[in-house]
Amino acid sequence: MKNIMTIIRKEMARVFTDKGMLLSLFVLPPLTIILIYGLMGISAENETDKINEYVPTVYIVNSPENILFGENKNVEQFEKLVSASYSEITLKLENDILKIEELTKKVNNEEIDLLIVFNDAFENNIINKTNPEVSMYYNVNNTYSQNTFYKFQTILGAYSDSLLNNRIDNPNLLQVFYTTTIQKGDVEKAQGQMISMILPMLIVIYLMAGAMGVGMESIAGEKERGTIATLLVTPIKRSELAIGKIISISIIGLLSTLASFLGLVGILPTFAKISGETDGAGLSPTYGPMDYIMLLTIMLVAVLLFVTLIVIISAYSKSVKQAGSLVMPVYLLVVGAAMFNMFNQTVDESFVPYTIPIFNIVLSLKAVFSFDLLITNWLITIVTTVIYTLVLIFIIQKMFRSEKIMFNK
Amino acid sequence: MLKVENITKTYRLGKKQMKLENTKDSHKVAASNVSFEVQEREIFGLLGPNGAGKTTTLRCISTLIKPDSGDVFIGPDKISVVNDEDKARGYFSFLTSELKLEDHFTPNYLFNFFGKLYGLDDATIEKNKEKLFNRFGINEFAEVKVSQLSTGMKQKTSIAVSLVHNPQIIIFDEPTNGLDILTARTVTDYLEELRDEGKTIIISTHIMSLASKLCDRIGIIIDGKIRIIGSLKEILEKTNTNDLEEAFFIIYKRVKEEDGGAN
Ligand SMILES: Nc1ncnc2c1ncn2[C@@H]1O[C@H](COP(=O)(O)OP(=O)(O)OP(=O)(O)O)[C@@H](O)[C@H]1O
Ligand SMILES: [Mg+2]
Repeated sequence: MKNIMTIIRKEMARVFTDKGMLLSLFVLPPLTIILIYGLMGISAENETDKINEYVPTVYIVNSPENILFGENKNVEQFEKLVSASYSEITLKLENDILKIEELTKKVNNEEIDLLIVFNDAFENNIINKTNPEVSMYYNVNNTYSQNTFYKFQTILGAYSDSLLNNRIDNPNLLQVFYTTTIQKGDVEKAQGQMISMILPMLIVIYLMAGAMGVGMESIAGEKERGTIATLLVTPIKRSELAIGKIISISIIGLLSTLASFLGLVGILPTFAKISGETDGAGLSPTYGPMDYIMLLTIMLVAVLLFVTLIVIISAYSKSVKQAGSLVMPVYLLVVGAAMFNMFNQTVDESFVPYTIPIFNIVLSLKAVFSFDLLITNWLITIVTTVIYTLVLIFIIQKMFRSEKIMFNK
Repeated sequence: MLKVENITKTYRLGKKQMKLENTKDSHKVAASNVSFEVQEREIFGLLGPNGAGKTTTLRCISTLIKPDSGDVFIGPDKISVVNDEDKARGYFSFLTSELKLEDHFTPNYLFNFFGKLYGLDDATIEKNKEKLFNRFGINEFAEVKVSQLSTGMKQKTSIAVSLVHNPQIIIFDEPTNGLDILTARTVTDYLEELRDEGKTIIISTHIMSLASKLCDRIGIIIDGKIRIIGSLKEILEKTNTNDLEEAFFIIYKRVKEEDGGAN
């Protein structure tokens, strides 16, 4: 135990008195985050300004007239509602339904931002309390078109509400009209969603990256330079040396991840801007203490597993260079598991996936962020990961005892 | 006292090494039935050409590698190096050019660090440090990182650090390798001083003059086997020569004739 502490103290001194290491472990990672997302934030901000200044072109087919619901009860022209919502808009009215096809083509060619079509008998349908239909055509590849569409969804919502107020006598028909939206162009993933999905992946990558550098340096590097052999002639047990190294590398890995996180927190408001949310609520939902406990414990066992993997590979390698090329596949595996999970939308409640090494860590992290992690699945993740780690530690101890491995140059 | 009994060590050769050694055999017997005894107040020299098996033998004694067969016993209690390696390590100081000190640390830090690993308390570490640092003039560069030290300074630091626990048995592989005359002299003088304090000392070397001047007894090792053991005087008498170099060549020729150039 005393020997383990001595090793840990030395490893800490090694890192914390080395400006280069401090820089690459604790300064550069958060800095890159701030830089990348900062730039993304700036461009997002410019985008928002441009969108606000943009004057959209909207065609309305069969724009509803003033609808009367008996004395003093009427709903104004739809067109007026639109004009009231915009300071500037190019609004074109069209009553020839034969022109619709031509107009949708114009949406596709980005000549028109939005085409909105009310069915022929819209006003009559409303009065007769049958449900009419409204169709909107916009271009998903065009940000202006997309934003015009979002805005019109709100306008239509308000319009629907005012119609509903006048039709409250028929509670069976709470839906005033059906809206169909037709997207033109390629459907792409919504950016905002991606960014909240990216968080678990970032955590895993930083945990891995933080442990990788020190891990390879501390094992393969010491082997390469012949400094680990100097330790092996002292009475320290090989297991104590192995555990001391594992703990030190884990501490450094966690601290480095924490540093990256501080960078992330610093950039959170910009983050929200990118995801198109004004209050950042999507990124700082109110997590309870249990969520934090789950998050931290998962990170803790994850870093231990990653470190033991890195230590095994580094101990097997003859040089840092070789360790680097051997660690790469593991790194890619981890990133791959994270990516796979990022796009996998269904949250699995079955416990089986939570027993798969590495995969279960990403799965649990994601579930924690979306409040979907069951206590049992959390425990299964923790316990199985600890078991995998213990098996690996056992292997490491064997390796540290093997002269073929420790003196393999 | 140290007793080496029939140590045999075989290395498995990789493909590259087989080519390098120009052999089809995938195994290399680096030490074969090596036996000798070293007493307290004695310097024993393992003398042999490159690749003779000196480092291999010393590594087996110092527990860094395990012999295929044979054992080494320490002191009157006959502590077995093979079966009780953790305990045995406490008795040894092992110094070889393959064992390096971490570049990033200072001699002072390293001395304290290794002292703790040997289980010493701070007062003992300080006491031993004062003695060794003064002896080797390390105080001048005690707070300079190893990476900035000259070869000689590094070697002095390595020696001091390897003696941090004031061990009974001192095993130095090529102790003067790469050192200038002055530094080499400091080292050999100190080894004599340690012998006079009652330590058991083994060194390896291929330098005849060093062996004849420093060692009380010499074992000549060629191709993994000890070919002759005795004091300088005994070896010269047995080979009917008047210097060690002559004796070495006579023995070497005899070995090559016996083996018919094999091995
Ligand atoms: N790890 C190893 N794997 C395979 N063969 C080895 C290994 N270490 C040493 N050998 C071989 O064993 C033989 C003895 O090597 P050793 O290092 O003991 O010789 P030495 O007497 O110390 O030589 P030198 O004077 O060059 O240091 C040599 O042929 C060497 O190539
Ligand atoms: Mg050698």
